[in-house]
Amino acid sequence: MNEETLEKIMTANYSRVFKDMLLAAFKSDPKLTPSYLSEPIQRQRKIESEIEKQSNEMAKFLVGRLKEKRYLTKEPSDKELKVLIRETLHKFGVSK
Amino acid sequence: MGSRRGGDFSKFAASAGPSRATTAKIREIQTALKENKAARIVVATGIDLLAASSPPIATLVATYRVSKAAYDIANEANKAYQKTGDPNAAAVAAGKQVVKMAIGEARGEVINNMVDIGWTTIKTSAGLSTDDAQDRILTTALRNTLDEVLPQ
Repeated sequence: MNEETLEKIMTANYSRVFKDMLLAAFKSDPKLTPSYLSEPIQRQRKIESEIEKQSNEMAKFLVGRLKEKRYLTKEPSDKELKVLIRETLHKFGVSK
Repeated sequence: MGSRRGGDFSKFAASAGPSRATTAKIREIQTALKENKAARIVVATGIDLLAASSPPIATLVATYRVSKAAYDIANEANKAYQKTGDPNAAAVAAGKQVVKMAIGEARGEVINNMVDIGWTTIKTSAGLSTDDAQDRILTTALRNTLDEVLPQ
């Protein structure tokens, strides 16, 4: 077991959490879900496939940044983590 | 192992109180849907929604600590696997390390029990302070990640 394994675990875990939160936003928000569900099924599937893709990419990017900062070996503070998380969301979001 | 959904997002995102920023972001997503924008743009707007609220950020902070815990569990399982070559025995050894007692014999059963029974222990040792909605997301991810990385 080594840093490579931790990187793999962290990427897998982050990818799942990003995906779950985004799916929850589209599929279980009383304000947003009716609009989402009124879209054709094919488009919903396309959006869900894009969610999966973006979640994987965000996880890879975030874990890459954690690695650069040596945060896989040295535990960062919550504040330090939040900076990288916000940077990741900012990079993949619309608002620049 | 299937993925369970994260529950009601509005309750999750609004657990810190409703915000104008999240309401505005939801409107932006609705507009992107209505205008038939590309899926990539719709999802990017959804990502902005996560950034606009504190609970998703806090969940992502907790994900780091849970991943470290998952690494320790996988490490324990790997040590046992090196000795026995048995994925079930490896999972049992990892489970015992988490909850200090036997929690099953078969790999899948042990992983499920480890997360269900051991979650409070994992949370305490990782120093997490999360609510039920965050716990649902984190335990689902942990269960699936352990299923992926423990010897099989």
